Amino acid sequence: MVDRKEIEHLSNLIKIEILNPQKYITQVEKILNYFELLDKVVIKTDDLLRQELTLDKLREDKFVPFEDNLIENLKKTKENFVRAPKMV
Amino acid sequence: MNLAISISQYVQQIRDGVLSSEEFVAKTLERINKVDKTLHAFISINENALEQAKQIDKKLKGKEKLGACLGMPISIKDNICTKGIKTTCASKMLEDFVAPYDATVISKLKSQDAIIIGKANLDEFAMGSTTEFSYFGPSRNPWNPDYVPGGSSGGSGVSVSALECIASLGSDTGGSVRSPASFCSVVGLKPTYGLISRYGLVSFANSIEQIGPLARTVEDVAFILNIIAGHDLHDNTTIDTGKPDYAKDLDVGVSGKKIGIISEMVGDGVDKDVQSATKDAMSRFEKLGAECVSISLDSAKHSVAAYYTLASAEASSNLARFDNLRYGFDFSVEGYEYNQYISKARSNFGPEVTRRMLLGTFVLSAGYYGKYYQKAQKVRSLIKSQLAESFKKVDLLLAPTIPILPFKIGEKIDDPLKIYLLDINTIIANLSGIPAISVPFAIAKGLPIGIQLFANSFQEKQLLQAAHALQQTTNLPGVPI
Repeated sequence: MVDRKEIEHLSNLIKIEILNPQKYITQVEKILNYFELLDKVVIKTDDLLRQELTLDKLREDKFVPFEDNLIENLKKTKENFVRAPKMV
Repeated sequence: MNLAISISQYVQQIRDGVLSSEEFVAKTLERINKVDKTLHAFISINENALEQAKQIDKKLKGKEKLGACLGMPISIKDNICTKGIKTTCASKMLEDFVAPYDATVISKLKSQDAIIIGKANLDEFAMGSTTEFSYFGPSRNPWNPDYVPGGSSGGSGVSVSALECIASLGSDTGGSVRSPASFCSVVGLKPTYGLISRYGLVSFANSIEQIGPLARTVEDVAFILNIIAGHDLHDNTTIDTGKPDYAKDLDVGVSGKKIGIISEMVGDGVDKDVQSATKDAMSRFEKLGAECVSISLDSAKHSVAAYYTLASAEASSNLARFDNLRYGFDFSVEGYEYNQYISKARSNFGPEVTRRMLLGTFVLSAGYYGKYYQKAQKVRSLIKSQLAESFKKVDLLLAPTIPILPFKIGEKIDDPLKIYLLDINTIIANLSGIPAISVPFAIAKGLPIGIQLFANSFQEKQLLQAAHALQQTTNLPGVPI
């Protein structure tokens, strides 16, 4: 089910350079086969888990300054700019 | 000086003036120096720990007001942000990352004068159950260094067990606090989802994970929980529970309580020694006046498939932030095109993280979403409703924490599915949000066995009382290292 092409497509989607796709093919396929278990579960209701949130504890709509100068933590800066690779 | 003391003993000795924080921290650092070359519980050590201890002693002498922790050394899983100390997530991707802020749990511990002794090893980004997937190498079990310590909070479990700190914080997404607690013979609590702030915990699976304490006694876990629990403005999933005192009335016992043994978790596939320890735990609860009954939770057998589908999906989305612009591995952009640059940077993720991202992207992709992700969400609902039904019949649920004994390092590393299946008894608490605790209960073949208890949401007090009662019945040997 999972072939080299599929793994290459996925690695392209998640933008990870995979040096040894073969290693992942067998493992991912085995895990997905196990996930097939989910297909056999009989669920009578269409209800999905709902999370109830109480909204009385939201913080005040007030600006709170962060104590640190975050820009100083960035590495690839030229003045206050971040250097990104070329987009072509 | 004895490092194997509980938090209450430490507090008493400091208050009585027979122990100073400096002495205890110095001795702890000496111990780390001695055993951590073998055990590798730590990724980094706080170099200012001794100085901080001296300051606390000075305050104590000057009769200044001090927080409840009085300078006790606590280790922190290295996926929880600490200002000024590296937070690597055991990943090459973040090997030099220093967070510009403290996680809420860290601010709370510091405000109570705890000393962060060091950052504990874990599986990369908390993905794993053995701590073998750390970029910095595996941690080793103090009961036998050839064996895995559990995971992903392996460093936390090892450091508490091997007397390298007094308590630790881990994070539990599928059993990551309870597994090392069980394998290393310490107590580990996964609190109710929403009890503890996740602000500053590096995100892996937001709808599932919680920070949890590990310590040598249930009483110590309750002490730490009192400090770190509570609503936080920085985490809107936290809930205001009115701050109950978890350490109070710990010894009320379990008389009249009804405890359900989850039948699916004590049958086939469970190691004989683990099975007999579970039976023994039941009979001890009965002797203490509790009633034990068998409870079936048939949705539990689908929990591993549902969990790994959902957790991988959330992980693949969370890890998208590692694009080397906001976070990531530091190398020059010269000569790279945008996509190429990100791919190159992300090739620094280890094998398990890559696997989860592949799986997560697959289960969310068009054509497969309904088959995997949506179905897993439904199974999650089913588990939650079956648990709610169970808690109408019983006060607590019981099962072994891990179905097997600790195993050798490297034994299962090439078969990720086998490692995933280790979580079969712990995952239901994460998918449903309920609290669970692992209590050290027995030693078989020189290796620890933990017993797990579950309670309904926000019933931590009841859970800790039962865990304390169980721990009081045990008399386990000290760690051999």
